[in-house]
Amino acid sequence: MQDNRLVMAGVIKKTPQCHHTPVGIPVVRFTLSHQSIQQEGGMQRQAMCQIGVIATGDALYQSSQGLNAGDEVRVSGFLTRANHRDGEFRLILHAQKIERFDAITS
Amino acid sequence: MSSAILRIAVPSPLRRLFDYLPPPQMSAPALPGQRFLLPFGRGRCVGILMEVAEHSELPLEKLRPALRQLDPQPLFDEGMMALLRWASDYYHHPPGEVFAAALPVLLRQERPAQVGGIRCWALTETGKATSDESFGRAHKQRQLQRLLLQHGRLTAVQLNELSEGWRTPMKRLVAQGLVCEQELPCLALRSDESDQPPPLNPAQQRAVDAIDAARDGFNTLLLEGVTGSGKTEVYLQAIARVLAAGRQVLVLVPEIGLTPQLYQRFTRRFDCPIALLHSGLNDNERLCAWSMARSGEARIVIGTRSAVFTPLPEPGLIVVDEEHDASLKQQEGFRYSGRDLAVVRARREGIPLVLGSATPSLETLANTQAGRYQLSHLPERAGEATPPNLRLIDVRQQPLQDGLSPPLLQAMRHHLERGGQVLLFLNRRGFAPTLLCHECGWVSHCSRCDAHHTYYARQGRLRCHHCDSEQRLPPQCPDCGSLDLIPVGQGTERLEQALQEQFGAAGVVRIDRDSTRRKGAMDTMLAAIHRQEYRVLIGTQMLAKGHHFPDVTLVGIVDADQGLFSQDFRASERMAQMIVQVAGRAGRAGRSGEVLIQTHAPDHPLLRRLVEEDYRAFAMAALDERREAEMPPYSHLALIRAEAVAQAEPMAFLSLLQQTIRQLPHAGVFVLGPVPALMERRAGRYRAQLLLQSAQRAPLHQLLRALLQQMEGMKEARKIRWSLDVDPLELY
Repeated sequence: MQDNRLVMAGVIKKTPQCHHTPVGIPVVRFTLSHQSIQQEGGMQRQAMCQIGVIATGDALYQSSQGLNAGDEVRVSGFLTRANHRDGEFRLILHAQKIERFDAITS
Repeated sequence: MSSAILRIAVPSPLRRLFDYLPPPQMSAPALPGQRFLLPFGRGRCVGILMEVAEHSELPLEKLRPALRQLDPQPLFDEGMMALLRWASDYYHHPPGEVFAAALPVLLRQERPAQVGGIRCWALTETGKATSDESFGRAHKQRQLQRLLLQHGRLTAVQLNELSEGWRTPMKRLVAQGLVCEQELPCLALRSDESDQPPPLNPAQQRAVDAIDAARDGFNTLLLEGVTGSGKTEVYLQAIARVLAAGRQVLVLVPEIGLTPQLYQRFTRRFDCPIALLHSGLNDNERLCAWSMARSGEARIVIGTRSAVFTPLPEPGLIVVDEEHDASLKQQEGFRYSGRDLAVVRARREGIPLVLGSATPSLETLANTQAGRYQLSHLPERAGEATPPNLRLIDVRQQPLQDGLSPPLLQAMRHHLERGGQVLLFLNRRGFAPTLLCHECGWVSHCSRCDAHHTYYARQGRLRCHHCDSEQRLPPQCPDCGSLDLIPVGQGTERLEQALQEQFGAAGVVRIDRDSTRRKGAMDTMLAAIHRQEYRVLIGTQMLAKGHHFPDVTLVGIVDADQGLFSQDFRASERMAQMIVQVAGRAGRAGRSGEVLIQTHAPDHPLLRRLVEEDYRAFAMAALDERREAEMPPYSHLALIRAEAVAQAEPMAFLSLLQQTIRQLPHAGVFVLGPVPALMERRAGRYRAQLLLQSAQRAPLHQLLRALLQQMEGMKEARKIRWSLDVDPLELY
């Protein structure tokens, strides 16, 4: 029951915001907008979604430095609910790795 | 004489006196007010002789002889003895503990009641004659010699300020016979500067004359002067007349924080020994000040609440400054009101009493209305100062930046540009009052109290303001493991940080209990404020009382809502006093002052009355409410508190007391409760209370007397921590 993994590529909406937790750990937040063509029932279809990304810790802070709105990235990580309010199950992607597309393709 | 019985007040929780036989040897006749060293239980203790009786209710062979007579003369005269007996009776507190509370700590021990003396150093004749060169390479010794030449003699406290590491070179100087150690005869140190009394305005003059006219008998005067109206000057000039008539003066002030400033004004004005008594002194210094007052050497005694017990051979006037202040009430052990005891003392001594305040307590105002106290009013600010202009800022739906609204920020910029100082008042220490998990909503709670932890950013710690426990900041939420912990709410530290970014160039300083913990820190900061090195001042109530900052032109009250919705019936009174006192820091010199009050309840009647009318208008309305609700000053309260580690015990014990009360005559006394305290758990103990309320004092006190007698035999009462508070100020 430990499986929880999502890899998603997309475009960053709005410049990522960073703050530090009280003990000084950096927390970067941004929204990832995804759009692609996927296979379903042997046919092609469009897939579109948006998800909040949260990147915590020094390593991810480094790799998200310089990211701006419009940048294309691939984020891998796990999903949790965004808050613990009853009946609300908005999901949020906790990044474990962030890759820039310009770095991947070139 | 051999059969005489000494009836002695022994510091113990038992509400009675103890009989002893005289000690084997006595150097002087036994007189009430002397201390005796006694065998008590398996140990020994110091007690005060209350009376010499001929018979004891106990058989003679059961009595033990006292060990030693400690004082040849009584420490308290008859008047003081009577006052203390009265206090023990009124507050229903064990006489031994009352008398012990009235003595300096050293006299509660076996110490002789002698002036101890403060150690100081002075040059001998040889030392004075020693030339600079002869010290050779002993630079430190040369420096000390020069200092002593300059100042005559210096105490350790003075030397600490003037020279670092002076002790070793000083020892050498003593060994060489160049310096001698002396005992300073405990005299208050005088100020080198002196000032002349300024002319009084007509209202001040009338007040001084009224106090003067009352000189020959008991009279209580309420000196109600708006902030900045020059109440202190009235005290000073009234005191001058009392001193001139050869009498002593006792001045009670609420907090030590205020005494240095007041003390300075007194030493500059009066060329007479002044004794200072407060909790910041060490035991020796306290004994010194107390002895000087008792011998009549000190003509003026300035002190916090316990100074009301200082013996004075020639009392002529008592002044209680800021008489509304809650710190005049002792909140633990022997719970007395310094102000109320001052009234009783003045009546017993037949001397006038002046109660001064800009925001008199409702009790005092009711007494004035009833004609028991005489009113002297100072309606205007002294000199050219004009009253500050108060305005409410409705912060509902305003974008708050670190708790500050755009109009307040704009006003701050405006006043700073014109060279004024700005004072922001926020009665909440720390960075934020709450640390919250943004994901799951977990809140950091104290494990021993029903309270949140306060978050301190600079130290990275969580601290409980109720039990002082502390812990490191958790790196992640203990419940869900999220790292996203966020501080919620504004504390002074956060405000300081935010203002540092915006107004750093103007100099930002924070004055609260945390930033002034180090000895002398407060004085250093105040001095820097006066030099205009800081122009943005952030403070808690520490900054609100009594200080005189001539250049403050804007006062911002960051959060006026704290006191509006409390369950304590005195909360609104305290809130109003606080607002008026803080507002009074604005515009005290020539410049006019502005006061902005941020609130979410701009229509609250309390705030409206304060802003549109004045404190008097608020107080009159509040008195009407109290009358209708039959709360003090229109009724009398006594509160029995109980606390224990087990949750059920305090309530069970108080229920038992309530049943006991039902069986005693209790006509006219309402018994309310028992109920758990507003904050039920504190420092790991559960607390509950039983409130007794009565329209008349007599039935309440009769009931208390009977109840306490019953409780002596109650085994439950010995197993639980309980206390009685007569005229409580805090219902927890």
